[in-house]
Amino acid sequence: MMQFSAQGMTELTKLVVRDPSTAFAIVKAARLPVPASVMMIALAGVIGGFTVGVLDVLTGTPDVVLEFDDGRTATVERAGPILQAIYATATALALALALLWVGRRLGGGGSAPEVLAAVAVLQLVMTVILVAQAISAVLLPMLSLILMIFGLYVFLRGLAHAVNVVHELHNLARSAGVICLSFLGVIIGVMIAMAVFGLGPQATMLGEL
Amino acid sequence: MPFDVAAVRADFPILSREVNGKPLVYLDSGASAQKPQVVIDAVTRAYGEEYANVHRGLHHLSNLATEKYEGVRATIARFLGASDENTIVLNSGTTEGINMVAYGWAMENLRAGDEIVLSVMEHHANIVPWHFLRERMGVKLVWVDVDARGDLDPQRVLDAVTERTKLIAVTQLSNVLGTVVDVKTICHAAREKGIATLVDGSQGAVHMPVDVEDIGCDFYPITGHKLYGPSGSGAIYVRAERMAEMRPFMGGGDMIREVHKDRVIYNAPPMMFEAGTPGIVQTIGFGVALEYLMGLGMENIAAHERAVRDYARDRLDGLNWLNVQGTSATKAAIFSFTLEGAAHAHDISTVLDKKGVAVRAGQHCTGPLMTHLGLTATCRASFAMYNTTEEVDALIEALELCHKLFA
Repeated sequence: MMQFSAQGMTELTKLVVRDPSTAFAIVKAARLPVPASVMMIALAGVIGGFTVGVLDVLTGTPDVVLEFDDGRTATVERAGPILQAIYATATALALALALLWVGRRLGGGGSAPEVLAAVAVLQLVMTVILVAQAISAVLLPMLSLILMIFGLYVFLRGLAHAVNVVHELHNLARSAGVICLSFLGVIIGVMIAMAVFGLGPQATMLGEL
Repeated sequence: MPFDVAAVRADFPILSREVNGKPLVYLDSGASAQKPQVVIDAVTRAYGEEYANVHRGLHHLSNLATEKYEGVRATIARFLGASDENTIVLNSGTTEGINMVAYGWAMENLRAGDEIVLSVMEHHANIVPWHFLRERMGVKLVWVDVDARGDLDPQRVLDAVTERTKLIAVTQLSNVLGTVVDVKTICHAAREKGIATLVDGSQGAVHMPVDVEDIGCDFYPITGHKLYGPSGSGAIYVRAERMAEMRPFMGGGDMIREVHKDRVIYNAPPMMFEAGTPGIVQTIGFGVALEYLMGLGMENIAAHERAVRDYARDRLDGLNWLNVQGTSATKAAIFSFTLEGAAHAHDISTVLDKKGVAVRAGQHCTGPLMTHLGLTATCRASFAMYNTTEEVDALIEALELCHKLFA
């Protein structure tokens, strides 16, 4: 197993942005153990969730209010930082599993530790961008928007290369297909989980029928 | 004719491929060199149109294969500066060649307590056969260290000689340090004392013109796959006087003239030392590789590699976090290094590979040298005639990434 210093992780983060193919090839070769990858995903989830939560407080983001034709309204309550962290972690883990399952069915050869490691590193990179976005939302709101678009670009490009490298698909179009199907699977899974377990955002209904 | 590296590169189809999405930068020629198209074609043609077993057949294909195969002996003799092609024994490479000397010559001519002088930077192939003699016959191995720059002072080698010394076995060019040894001085002094000399030419013959008669050695093994030929091919030059002192060490096939229930009559040398069906096609390909090298001119190749070496040395010297082993003035374009920050050589080579740069990591079959240097492993970038200064830049860029990742 390769051992990266803090500076090394910073460099790896930069490499994901600059040259994701090489970055994820290194991640794959690094043979990170599963617990380390899960820890990284959880850490990214906690930091990300906390950042979003604090950002909501700092910017005083209004709650989402749904207005129905019959005059009733539903106020969707924002999840707190802890819940946000749990959601982020669970979504990342679900995405990793979906990428592994779909990727292998589409001819990929990546293993669970490799896929988890790739998702973990990508999550860390996204967390860095998210924190930068949160800070700029307070100081320079326009920059925050740019960072959001940049983050989306880095995420999609990074994920495409990660899937391509980890599953050794040698085809970015197939990687994109794996990602689309995986997202679809995660969305369906989340919807089922929400329906069965009553998870997700809670809404307070106002008004009479 | 000036050396045109672009034209040479065009002769090697593998050099145009990509690895990990990056152009291949092949810096592992010290382990095995890539093959020019002429060698690939020769091997394909030999299997596709000219193949049969050699020597004992009376049919057309056997005669054709024999002619091609035996013709290589003269090519090797010419390449090595040997005036008599019968001093060339064809084999599978340096390891077999040195083992042949150990079993075929040393076992016959050494006794318990006799000494073999070795340098500390020998490849295992030039160490382990002598250990066999130490274990089985009680032969003593005498080691000569290299100095801080990685140079092997010929005088130190000669100072290690005693009246029990029967053989000096040294490399011509270190596969780790790149040091070029003054083997001529050693061999001429040894011959005056009646001591046999074996010069390991595995690396040396690849990077410089060789004249075994000028060197004055008794044994000079070479390896085909390092000389741009097929793997499993090779040869050893054996001076005629030493060949007369040898007994065959493997039996069967081409080394036999007659076999009876109570006696065997061996073939005449050098075939006496070529048992079994040889690597026919590999040897034919090896001959083509040597013709290709001689066509380019070994002087021209050496000059090009010196230029690449100088450029690489300057650039690597600029990396103050990189420890390059061996700073001999004679150093060839072989750079073994470690990174400060204790990243393992395997991790470094893995990251370099992801950037398309192929290097070797480990001990490079030189355990005693690693012990001498106080290292467990290094990365080694070994350049060849097809490498360019641009590839040096690619190596540097990849090393800088390693430094940032692991420092």
